Amino acid sequence: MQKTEWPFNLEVGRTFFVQSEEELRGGGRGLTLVVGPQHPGSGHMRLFVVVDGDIIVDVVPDPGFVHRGVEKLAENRPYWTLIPLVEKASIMDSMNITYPLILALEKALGLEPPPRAKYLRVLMAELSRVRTHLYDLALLGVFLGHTTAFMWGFALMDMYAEVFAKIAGARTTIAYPVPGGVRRDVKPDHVEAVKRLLEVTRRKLKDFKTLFLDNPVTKARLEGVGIVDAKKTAELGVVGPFARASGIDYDVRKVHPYDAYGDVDFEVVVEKDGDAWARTLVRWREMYESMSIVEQVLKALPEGDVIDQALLFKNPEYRREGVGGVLGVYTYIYPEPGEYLAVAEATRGATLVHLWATGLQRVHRMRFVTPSWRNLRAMVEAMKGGRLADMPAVYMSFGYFPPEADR
Amino acid sequence: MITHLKLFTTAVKQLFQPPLTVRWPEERRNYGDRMRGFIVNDRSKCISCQLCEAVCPAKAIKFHLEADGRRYPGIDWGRCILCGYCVDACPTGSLQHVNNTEIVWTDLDVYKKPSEMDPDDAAPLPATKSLI
Ligand code: SF4
Ligand code: SF4
Repeated sequence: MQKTEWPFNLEVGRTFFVQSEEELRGGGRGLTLVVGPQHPGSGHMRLFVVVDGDIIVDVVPDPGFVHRGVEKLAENRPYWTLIPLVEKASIMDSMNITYPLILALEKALGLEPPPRAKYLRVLMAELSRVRTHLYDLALLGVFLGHTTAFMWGFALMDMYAEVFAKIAGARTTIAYPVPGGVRRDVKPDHVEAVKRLLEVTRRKLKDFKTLFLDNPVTKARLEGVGIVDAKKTAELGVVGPFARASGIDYDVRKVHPYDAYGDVDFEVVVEKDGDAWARTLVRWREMYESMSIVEQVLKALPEGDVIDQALLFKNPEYRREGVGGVLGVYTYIYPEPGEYLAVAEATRGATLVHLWATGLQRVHRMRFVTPSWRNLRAMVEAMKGGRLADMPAVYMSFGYFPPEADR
Repeated sequence: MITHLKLFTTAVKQLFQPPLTVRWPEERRNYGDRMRGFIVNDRSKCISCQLCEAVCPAKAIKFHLEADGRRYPGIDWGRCILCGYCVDACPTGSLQHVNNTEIVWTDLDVYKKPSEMDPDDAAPLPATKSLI
């Protein structure tokens, strides 16, 4: 069947209101279905799906419904305010998504976080990773019609929200790291809370597994669905757990270890099959790897400051009990002119930030590439040739998060 | 068959677990003392240095002249994202978060006008329930 150009041959604004049935026809025997952009069903995005019977022949994604112009907004504000701006791309995963920005800013400002801050960042990054995987698995559950998995995932996730609030002061958008350190030190009772959290997670995940992963229906819905092989994965530039599910052994944390990732011992989880089931399993096993990293971090947590001495030296007054309190210092330090590139492994894959600094406090340009955007093409390819009923399973097996992709 | 039995027993086991849900407002989640709730300003400590205005990512802080001839920060709650940067920047510690995120405005004009939070309105609420 020939590929259809619909709806992009129509003028803007008319695509939404289909006037006659002929317009819906994608050519040949096909029928074009519009999935989304309502939130339940496809997230904040729209998919034009051409079906022949119930076989998906073609999928044209129409992302951009939650585009906020982060890159453009970044050109007009001082560098320290980019952190709360960038983290809104993926609020659950805010620690990981801001990581590359922080690393780039540190290069630009010539700051080096003390060891304790590096460990604390890894701690929060790995807790966010578990939390985001739980979120994605919960949504995968509800996309399959498994409401229990949704409830369990969200309930577990809320415990992480509580620990984030206790340590960093907010449930989701924590804005925890700053160039040169982290904003809050952890106290002994926070360490206890994290330990309890890990224990509860391990206990609950066992039951969650029985209810969700071991459920024969879940496996039947996911196995052999939406296969993307390793070659295609590489060609389409897939990142993160979704590339690892197709047998590509690549993890930024291992390849270019940043902060304390060089000091902790963990395994890069790889599966061979490249189907929705493999993508689910990779994320499931990664949660255990992340929890083991958190345990290692808690064991090896060095003593000392959480903010670079250079910042404290500039104005010792800003130092306050339990609080970094250094935000004011940034108003009189300037980035070195130049280009700075940093990559970090966010939960859904590698995130990149490229900064052009001109010596002003406002950066000239910030390029921000998020993993969901990189995974969109593979997701669409994986849907083709499958059945329409499998589309939600493929969609959420890629953990596609429109706010992160549209940024 | 075994799988189904296991599924069933796991589900039944949950009947004897304490509920995770919170009966608001009788119960409130305990988020600890760092929760970034609404912000109050202790005027006796404020030195009107305007650093809080300079660091605010949302441009939510505007200074207003008071009867004592000094300028104090007022926060536009329609813009504020409760990031806490102003609190972290304040050199005297006069700006502080209160452990309260439940304030309701009935008048949109008041909500939009940069103003100082009345410490009585923003009094911390009892937090009783911890999940962890
Ligand atoms: S930073 Fe603190 S001391 Fe300075 S003007 Fe703001 S509230 Fe007052
Ligand atoms: S909490 Fe953040 S957004 Fe709100 S006034 Fe302070 S600096 Fe501005």
